[in-house]
Amino acid sequence: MSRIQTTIQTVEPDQRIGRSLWADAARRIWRDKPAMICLGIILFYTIVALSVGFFLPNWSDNVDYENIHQKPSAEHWMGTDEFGRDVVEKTFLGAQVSMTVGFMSNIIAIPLGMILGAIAGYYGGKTDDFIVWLFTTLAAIPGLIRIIAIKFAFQGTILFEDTAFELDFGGMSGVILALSITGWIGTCRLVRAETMKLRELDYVLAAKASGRRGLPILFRHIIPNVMHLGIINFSLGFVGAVAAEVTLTYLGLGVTGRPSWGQMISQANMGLVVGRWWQITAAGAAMFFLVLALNIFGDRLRDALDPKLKKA
Amino acid sequence: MKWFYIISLGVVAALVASPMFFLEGAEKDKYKGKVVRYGTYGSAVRSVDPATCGDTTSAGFQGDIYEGLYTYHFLKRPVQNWVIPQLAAEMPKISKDGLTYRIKLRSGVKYHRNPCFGLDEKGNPKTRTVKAEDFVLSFKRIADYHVSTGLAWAFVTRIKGLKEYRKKTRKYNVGDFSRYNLEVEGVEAIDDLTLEFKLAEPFPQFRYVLAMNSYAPIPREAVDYWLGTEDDGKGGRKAIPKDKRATEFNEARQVVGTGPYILADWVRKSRIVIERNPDFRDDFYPTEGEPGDKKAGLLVDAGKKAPFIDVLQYDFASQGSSGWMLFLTKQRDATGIPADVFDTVINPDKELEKKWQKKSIYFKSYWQPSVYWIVFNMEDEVIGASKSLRQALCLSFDVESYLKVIFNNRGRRAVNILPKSFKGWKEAGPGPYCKFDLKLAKKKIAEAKKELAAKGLLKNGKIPQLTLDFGGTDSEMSKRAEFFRQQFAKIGVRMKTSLNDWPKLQEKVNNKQCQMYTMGWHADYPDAENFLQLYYSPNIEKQTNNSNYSNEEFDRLYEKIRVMPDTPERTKLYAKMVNIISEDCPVMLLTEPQSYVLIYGWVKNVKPHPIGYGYAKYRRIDTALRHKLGGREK
Repeated sequence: MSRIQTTIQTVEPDQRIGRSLWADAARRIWRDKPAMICLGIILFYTIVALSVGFFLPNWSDNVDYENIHQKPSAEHWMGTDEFGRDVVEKTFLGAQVSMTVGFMSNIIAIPLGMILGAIAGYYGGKTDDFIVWLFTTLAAIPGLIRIIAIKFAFQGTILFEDTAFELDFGGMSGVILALSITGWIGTCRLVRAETMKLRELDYVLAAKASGRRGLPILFRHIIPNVMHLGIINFSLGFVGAVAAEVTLTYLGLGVTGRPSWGQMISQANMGLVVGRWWQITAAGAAMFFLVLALNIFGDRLRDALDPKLKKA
Repeated sequence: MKWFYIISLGVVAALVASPMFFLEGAEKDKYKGKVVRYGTYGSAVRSVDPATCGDTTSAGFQGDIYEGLYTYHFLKRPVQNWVIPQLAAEMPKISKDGLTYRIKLRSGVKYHRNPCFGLDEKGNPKTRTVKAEDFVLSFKRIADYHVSTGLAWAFVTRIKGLKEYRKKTRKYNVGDFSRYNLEVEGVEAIDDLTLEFKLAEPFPQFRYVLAMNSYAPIPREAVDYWLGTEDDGKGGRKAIPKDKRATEFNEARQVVGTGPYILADWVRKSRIVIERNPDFRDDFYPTEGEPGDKKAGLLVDAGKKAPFIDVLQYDFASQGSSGWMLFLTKQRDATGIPADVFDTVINPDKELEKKWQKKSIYFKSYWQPSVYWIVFNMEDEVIGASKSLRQALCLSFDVESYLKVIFNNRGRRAVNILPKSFKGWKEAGPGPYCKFDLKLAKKKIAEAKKELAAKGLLKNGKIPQLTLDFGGTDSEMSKRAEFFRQQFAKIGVRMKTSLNDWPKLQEKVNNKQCQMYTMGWHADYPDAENFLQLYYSPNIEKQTNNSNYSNEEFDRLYEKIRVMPDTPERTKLYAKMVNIISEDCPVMLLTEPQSYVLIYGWVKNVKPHPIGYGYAKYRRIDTALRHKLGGREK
């Protein structure tokens, strides 16, 4: 009787389990401490934006005319505003506006850019010519002027007036619309170029050869493979949208009737002359951390989704 | 090749730097040897035509360019006692029945030189003297259906034949200026220097009206040349087709007045430059003033020939901060005080803080004969339908806090539609809804809901959202909008605010497109009738009754008082009419404003006038002191 050595074959985990692009990216992000810190900051802002309305439902009317422009104190950490309201609370409410504008404008712009880019890249010909003409024409107008022009064009438009779905384009809806209409261009360009590359690859040709039509190929084989571009652009576009909202509001074209960082900065410009720094500082700091976190996270996300870029 | 790059670099550098040299040169010689006053203005100038001047900003500039028959004494008060001749040679001779005014004109008064009078041998524009018929033309233009003259027209409807003339002009093509050849019974040039007005009914305030610049003389040559012809591109003029002609002067070169200054440059919402009129008649600084004027240094220039300043340059600064920073850096001679910095400039005792006094700055504060209010459009289906809603809004508004938060207490609560200094204010007393009373406001809201429900105007059982329009788009106006929203939220009224620039708001008001809007009234003349006419229903079509308010009893009383001389009986009727308005609330009264102006010590002869315009000619700049204190050289 011979002894049989029974051994368990061991293999490296990486060799044993195949991971998708997304799982791989999530793993890279999870291991990236700065990215996780930034994600934490973004989540914090998101939670603030989602919950602040429940905690401070009547903040705008919570005025104290006897205590206007009070300096920071134990009671009001960042002082009070021109109506005696707490500036910290105002800053939190401003986050709601910024996050809403950033999210909503990109949730419209990015899919629009991806779909148009994929169609242009895949079909080519006159379709491609038209879409390229459209975005190059739009891109030829300087960014801020483009946004301001759209904002002005829809200034007096109100849809679904006096219903729960009222859209007043003179306010935040107008800002979202203006940013959405102009925010898809960069994504469209990138996705178009990537699609042109993908459409020549074997798996797409195989799908074509097996009789699949254009749109199913686009949505099942092309768009999933350019999704990472959309996600990266979403995070970077978010930064642009937050900054643009602040700029528009500062210029008097943005959000009205609710606290926003742009409004805080705009209203504090003369206050600085007499040493009232707290409102502009609060709004500036809140914006700084959000934009910084979004920028870093966007960069890290891009590296995670496309490691080749990092090596390059 | 090396030289090619060096030369290229040199060319690029020269091109980049060249504007700096040219700009500096242009600025350097621009006002050489002249005394210049630098100022800012914060609202858009809507008109440079006296006939269409309907706002205080335009009137302020026009006052230095155009002149009327009469004006107010620069120093003496009360203003109602000091209407004095300007282009008239003397006060009018009034017939016993008070219906005929005969006015002798000052002789030798010349218009600004302008191409409309032709060119001399050297190619310079000519001028001519003012004639009585020029005044006749100015009244015809005011009455012209095709010229948008709402306010000025409303004041002169009592001149005989002017209403009929207006009807006739309606039938003419817009560019057919032959309508100015039609006769008007009530305005007649007896000879070149005698003007006669015939009134259909007595008009006790007529002398004040004649002191308004809107009725300044206009030469027919200016109308025919600037509105009837255009440059033909060959150095001549060609006729403009009649249907393409404008009826209003709207360029600096078209402005032909008689005033001490000529409009040299007007870039909308950018810059206004007015320069000394070399042909200005003899006009001398007043030799008498009120007690205290001498001590205040206001009679130092007594008897000297005006004007003292050669050029007045105003830059547009819609944000108060821009004007303020220019003042702090001594680039401007005077400024208003932005709300944000007011408390650091004026102390609670209403005195200038010492640190500003050390900078050789002084201030003037004065009460304006104005009342600010929110106008309710009485033709609006919601706000016009419910008196209780209007009363509730009035009661819910905390004017005292408004003054404190928005105006740094620069003003007082308006308690009726008249300024405090006007006859009738005291007799009328405070209106019943000119107070802050939330309890009563909520009661009124409940009544308003019943009123609106009866007319089927409630939406889901609630008062529909109201819209409030503002005449400004800056952060200060946003702050006001927010304050208004807070106030009305206390009684559950939802308020949407809309920010417009000033001309846009005026356009919306004239087209009756506003539901509620912020406005005010600055007295055109020192008589309560000027405020009461704003609620007389026939004035709706003349666009002075902008609340579109109509009340038969009020109209009847107005028709009675408008021909009455200044008597205690008239004052009683004034009070009665004011109380009708206080009850009906076609406006929500806010404040009577108090103005503060900061002025550097080098600006002399500053005494703000509550009604009159055109006193820049009496200002003097001590340029040596200005330069010494670090201000501009010239």
